[in-house]
Amino acid sequence: MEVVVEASDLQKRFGDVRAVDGLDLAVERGDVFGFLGPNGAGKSTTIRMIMGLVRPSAGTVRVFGYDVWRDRRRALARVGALVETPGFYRYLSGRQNLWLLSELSGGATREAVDLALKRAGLADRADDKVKAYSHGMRQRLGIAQALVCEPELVVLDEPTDGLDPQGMKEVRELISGLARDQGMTVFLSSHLLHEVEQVCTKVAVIHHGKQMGSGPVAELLSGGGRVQITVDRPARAAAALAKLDFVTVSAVRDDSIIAEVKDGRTAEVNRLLVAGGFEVSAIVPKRTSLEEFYFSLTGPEDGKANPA
Amino acid sequence: MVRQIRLEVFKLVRRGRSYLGFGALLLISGLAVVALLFGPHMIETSMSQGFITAGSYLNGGFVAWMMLNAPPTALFLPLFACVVTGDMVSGETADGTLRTVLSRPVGRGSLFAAKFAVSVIYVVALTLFLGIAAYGIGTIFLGRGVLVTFQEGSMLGAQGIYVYDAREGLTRLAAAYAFVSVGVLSVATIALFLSTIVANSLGAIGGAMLTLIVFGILAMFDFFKPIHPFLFTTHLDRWRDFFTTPIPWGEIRTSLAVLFAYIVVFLLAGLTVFTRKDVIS
Repeated sequence: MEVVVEASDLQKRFGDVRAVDGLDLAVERGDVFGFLGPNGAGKSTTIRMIMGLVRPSAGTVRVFGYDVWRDRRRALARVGALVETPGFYRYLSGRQNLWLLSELSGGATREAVDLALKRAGLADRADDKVKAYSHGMRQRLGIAQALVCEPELVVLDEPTDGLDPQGMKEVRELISGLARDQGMTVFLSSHLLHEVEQVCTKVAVIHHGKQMGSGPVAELLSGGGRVQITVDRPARAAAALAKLDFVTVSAVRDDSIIAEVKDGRTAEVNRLLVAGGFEVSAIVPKRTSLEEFYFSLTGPEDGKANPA
Repeated sequence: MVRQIRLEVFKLVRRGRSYLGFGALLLISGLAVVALLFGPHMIETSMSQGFITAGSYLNGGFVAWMMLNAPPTALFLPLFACVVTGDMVSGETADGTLRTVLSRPVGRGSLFAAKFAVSVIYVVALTLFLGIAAYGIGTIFLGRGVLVTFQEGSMLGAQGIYVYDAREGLTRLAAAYAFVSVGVLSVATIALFLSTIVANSLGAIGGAMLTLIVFGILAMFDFFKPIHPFLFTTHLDRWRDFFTTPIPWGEIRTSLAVLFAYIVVFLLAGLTVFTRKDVIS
């Protein structure tokens, strides 16, 4: 699989502050890659380095195989981006802004500009000056300008910031559709964990400028062999299970046990418990939420992302 | 590069701020003509003290020449140029548009070069507009005729005068305005450079104007005489030599060389900063 974005030992220092500290990333073609981390973790600095806005202190970022800082034209030729709150020429209309920005990427047809405006829900206000736009409208125009030239890689930094719930839902559907229907690769930075969980195929968590964990969402959240066993006398049942070398009990609740069962031997666990005189009501695979995964890496105090 | 210049021009013409200087210079030219129409006595009284004149020398050409002499012009022309060039990078940094633009596959060097090219276009247009407006309004209300210019003294205490026929006067005015545009461009390039290192356009505009004023003050003191030839402000007034006979081309070339040196140095400094700048706003 082609690696579209590759960061290698990426570092950025601002004076004595290490904003990004030895980050390695690999985003493959077709990924919807979620980039998570609390405020000040280094997400925005990383995105700025990916977009050639900030020069790395050490390490490299390659986009489509080109070093962004040394060969930015070729690296960014097939990239559309929304970096934080989008800046627009306030004295120009939404349509003029899109036209002007698309010209910098080689140009877009009038139909493509109209389509991007329609997709962003701004068709009716396209000829109004941007200074008359609300924050949410500017955000949607920001998404439109990222997509107007039909890029192969879309980098979105907090794309739903400032949108109402309906707008957020539409953007989530749009992002999912970009990869599914148009084959685009998406790099998405967000504070909204459930948003990332819903749309991303892979995630990486960054904290204090370092990558704390990454991988396919399905794998990370599968919980490995974690199961919830609903059983009578859970404390005694847990003690019985603890003697088995393929079971690790992680929690005992009032009516159930949380345990990790290796090699898919849950049927054997069931048989042994029943043979031991326990009444087993259910054995259900315990899926880890992205929130649990996130906080397991960042800690509950530091990782102030928004689970909502 | 051509596409980027076209886009920069598009932004310039769509922005109200770009017309501020044109409007103000038009107003100043109009006021100058009104003053000459309804109160030319001071100049005529001054002239009559040393010369006997016949006919009218208060005409379009005289207004265009007078505007170059007017102290407000010496201040406002660079100021209005700096209002635009000092905003080229810092303004876009402050409002986030630089971030949006540089997220596109555009070379930083060519983008800065395009901004400089548009600065040149704007400065030349602004300066020539002053000349055309002053000459045009003056001609409409005062008529055309020979060009009379004063030398070696103030307008109201002239030590000498030069008289050129209308055609030659116009040629000399065109050359003088072209020279002035180079001088204004030197200040505007300083503003463009400063706009790459400050976060808001006021800093860049103020910094360039402060440089102009400080250099002007240095030029007033003999103590700093050894450095006078290297101050761009020393050379800004060289346009006056286009109204002497013969024209001292050697001095004019020297002054142009100094002014272009300032332009090149600050252009390269700005280019260096811009191509290495972290866009973190």
